[in-house]
Amino acid sequence: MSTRASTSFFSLRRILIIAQNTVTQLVRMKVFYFLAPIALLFVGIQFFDLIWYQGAETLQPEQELRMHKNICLGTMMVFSSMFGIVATALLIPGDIEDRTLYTILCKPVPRLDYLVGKLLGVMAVIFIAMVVMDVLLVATLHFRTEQKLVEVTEYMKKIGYPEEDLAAGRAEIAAHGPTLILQYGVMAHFLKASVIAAVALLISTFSTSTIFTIATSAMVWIIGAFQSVAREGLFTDPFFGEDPNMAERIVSTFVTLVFPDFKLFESIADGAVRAEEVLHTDMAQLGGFAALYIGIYVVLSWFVFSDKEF
Amino acid sequence: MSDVPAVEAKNLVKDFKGAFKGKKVRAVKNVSFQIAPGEVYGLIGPNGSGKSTTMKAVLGLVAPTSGSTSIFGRNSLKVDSRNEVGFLPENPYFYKHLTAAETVRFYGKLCGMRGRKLKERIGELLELVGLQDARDRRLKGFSKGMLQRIGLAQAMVQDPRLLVLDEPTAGVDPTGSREIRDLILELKNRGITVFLCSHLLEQVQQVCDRVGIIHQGVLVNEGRLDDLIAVENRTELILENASESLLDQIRTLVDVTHQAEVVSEGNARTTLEDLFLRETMSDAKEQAASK
Amino acid sequence: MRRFKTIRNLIVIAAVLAGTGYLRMPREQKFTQDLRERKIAHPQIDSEIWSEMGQTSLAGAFGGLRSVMASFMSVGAYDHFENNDWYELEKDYDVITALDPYNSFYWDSGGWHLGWNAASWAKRNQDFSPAKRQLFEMEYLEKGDAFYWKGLKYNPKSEKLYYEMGAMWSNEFKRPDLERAAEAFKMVRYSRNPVYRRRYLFTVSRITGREIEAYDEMMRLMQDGPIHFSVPKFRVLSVILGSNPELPDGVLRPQIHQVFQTKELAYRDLYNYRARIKYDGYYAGNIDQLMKQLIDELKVPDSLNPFVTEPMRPLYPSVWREELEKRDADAIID
Repeated sequence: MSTRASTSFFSLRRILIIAQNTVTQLVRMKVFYFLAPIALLFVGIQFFDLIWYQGAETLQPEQELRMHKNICLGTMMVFSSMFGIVATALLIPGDIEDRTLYTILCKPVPRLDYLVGKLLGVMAVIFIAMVVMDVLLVATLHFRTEQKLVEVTEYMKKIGYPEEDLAAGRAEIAAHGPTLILQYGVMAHFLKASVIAAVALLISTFSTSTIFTIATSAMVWIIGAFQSVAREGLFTDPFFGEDPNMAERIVSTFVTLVFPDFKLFESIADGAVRAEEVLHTDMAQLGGFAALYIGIYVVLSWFVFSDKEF
Repeated sequence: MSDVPAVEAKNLVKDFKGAFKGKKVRAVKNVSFQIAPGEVYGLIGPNGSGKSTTMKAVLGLVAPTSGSTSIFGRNSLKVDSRNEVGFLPENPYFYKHLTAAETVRFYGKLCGMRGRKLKERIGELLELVGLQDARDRRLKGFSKGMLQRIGLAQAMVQDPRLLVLDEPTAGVDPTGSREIRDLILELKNRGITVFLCSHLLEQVQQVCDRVGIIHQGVLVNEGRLDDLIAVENRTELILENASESLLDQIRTLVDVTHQAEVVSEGNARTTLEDLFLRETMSDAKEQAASK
Repeated sequence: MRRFKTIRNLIVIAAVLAGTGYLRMPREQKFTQDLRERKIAHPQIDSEIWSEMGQTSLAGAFGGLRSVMASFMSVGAYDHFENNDWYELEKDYDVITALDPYNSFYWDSGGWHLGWNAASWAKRNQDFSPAKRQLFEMEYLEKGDAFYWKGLKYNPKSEKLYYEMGAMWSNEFKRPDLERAAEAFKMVRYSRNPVYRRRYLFTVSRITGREIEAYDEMMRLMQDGPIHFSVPKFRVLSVILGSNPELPDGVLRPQIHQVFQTKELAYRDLYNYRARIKYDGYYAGNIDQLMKQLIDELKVPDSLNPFVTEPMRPLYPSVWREELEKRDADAIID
């Protein structure tokens, strides 16, 4: 007697099975080896002072820590976004070419489950990689922050800071170390990478070549970085204003409506690096936008993929 | 036995966009057939005849332009219909990063199997297809025959009532082909319906109950194998240890009736495959004995 | 059919994206505005700056690496400083601060290069006529000042920028404008940093006509406790400013024996302070009277008597000890 599998429209269990398989596939492709040079970079920048570093008396420790965070977070952002594009772009065409897709779709697996499972798998690998990089970042930043705190404390005592102000001075430096707010920056980059992976998923469902998928997704990544410029133009200059440059307005409208606003994610990450007060509610809103983007792209992917023939 | 056919195609038509702009190619032209539960049905035809397209339509991988296909009464395009189906594609590739056991486990999980039942089923299937020694080897290092066998294992993981096999013995050596053939016969004995496509006619002849011949998208002939290939007005009689005098008597009897004639006589022939197997298997047995 | 499906799919995708885009657009705008107001999001880059950006910084701006690009560009800008290429340096810093405007470090560096390094270079450059040297020096000082002010627009809480601006305008080797310096230092006189807290006092005490104000500031700082008394100038000012005859009756007037541990220390500090009056314009008060009194009491040798011998700048403790020992040795011989 054959097993009657659940053939509901959406099965979390099936999605997780496909996601787990995707993770195993990517891990056994040794994608995590790239973490070795990144670890070297994160540890290596510990030993670089700013070239015009003049010591604690100029109170530049803050800037050193910022630069450390900028480089590390920038690396994490570039890696996670690129990986999101390339890994997703290769997955579905790879399955079609290898015909593994046939055997999967001939099991009671709705196409939506397959798509969501693949995307979740990529997101899981990005997440794991970012956790590893984050641990490295926190460790190296902690070490450097402690060094700077010692330097600054010595200097403050030397110039006669009152006792009650020493703690506040130290706290200002410590705020640029590994804090919860910095983790918000890491999370923002993860969410951005997830959105760009969902874009790549959508494009791969109708693209005929992997290179086209990668190139187009990269274009979306770039255009998404200045979607906010186009959008603000629309809000500040009404569409039918006094002297509309129609071509510009049309392009701005198109960019604003169609492309995601990646600036939101970058702004949160930048703010986190500068130790600005990023709130839980900011992260909740950002998560909401990410979920919306991903949801839209997944639904559209399913729409295209559902009647695709193999 | 249920009245619902295991597979039914009704007036199936499938068009594809041709190489030239706007020109359609009709790959399948109004094909209709039924496969009864427990039957082994072979769909044969030359390359490009529409066999694979018909098979894909039955599996729901392509949508018919018109007409319909169903599996045990369920529309092929519905996901529900795939509960009962196991599919082995032509030249199958699976995820190379998985081991044999992991591959079967993956497909078993997709079918809703879990826990001990799945674990036992994996062991059972790997033994059935002769891959128990390679269960922890990654598919990357598998030969074509081994891939074919793991393909069979994943196709059968959820114990489906229907198996669809596309060129199951293509590129497989005679030993492997024989094993697959024997397996198909065993499945038939268990009451599992098998729908296979092949252009290796001799092998189709060995296993199929019914056969459909498709050519340029049209089902040109269909029926029970014995009925199709029987030469109506000829009878074959094979004797063992017949003496010369007995043979003379039979020849005389035929001459006397004036209704029939002896068309040919001579030693019955084995097949090249049987000879190959006899030689290779006896060689393997000798080597094993000498060790 | 397939072509129809492709077109249909594209239309549906475009329609869904446009429809959902229309719904999310105002929410995105609101969120962005909120982040900008709280200075979490960077302001938009000026169109002028776009045109100045090189390919790399453009790529960085578009790729979401604004802060990282700013970091790398600031390292590259140091080369322009070493080559005295002030035009390129200024352009680079326009881009750097546009990329990361909420980082006061870049405004500080840019202001430093323009107001200090470029101005000094212009002042010393023998390729220019004296008039031109002066003109260019002033131009760069003003550029530096404008740069600091622009930085303060984005970083209004940056004490460093105020401090550096004040330091630039109070530097005796440049073209000091003590009024402007005082305005800058006034903004940091409540800083936790004792160095910053004192600068307003030190500047105002150099401006003729603001001695009372200086005295009030000094009294405010005395409430911080003994921390400022570790600085010689502060010790001297506390006595000198308190000697101002225009102060109202009844105010506190610190005396030498209250402020200084020893009379020798008092003399040395007063000696050094007096030597700077001519150059820095510090308030003299009754310093001559105090010094003459100490010269008699301590029997200060002529070599250390500024009324007899041209004063040294500064009088180091080691020199002070040497001269006293010489005096004592001469006395024995006599």
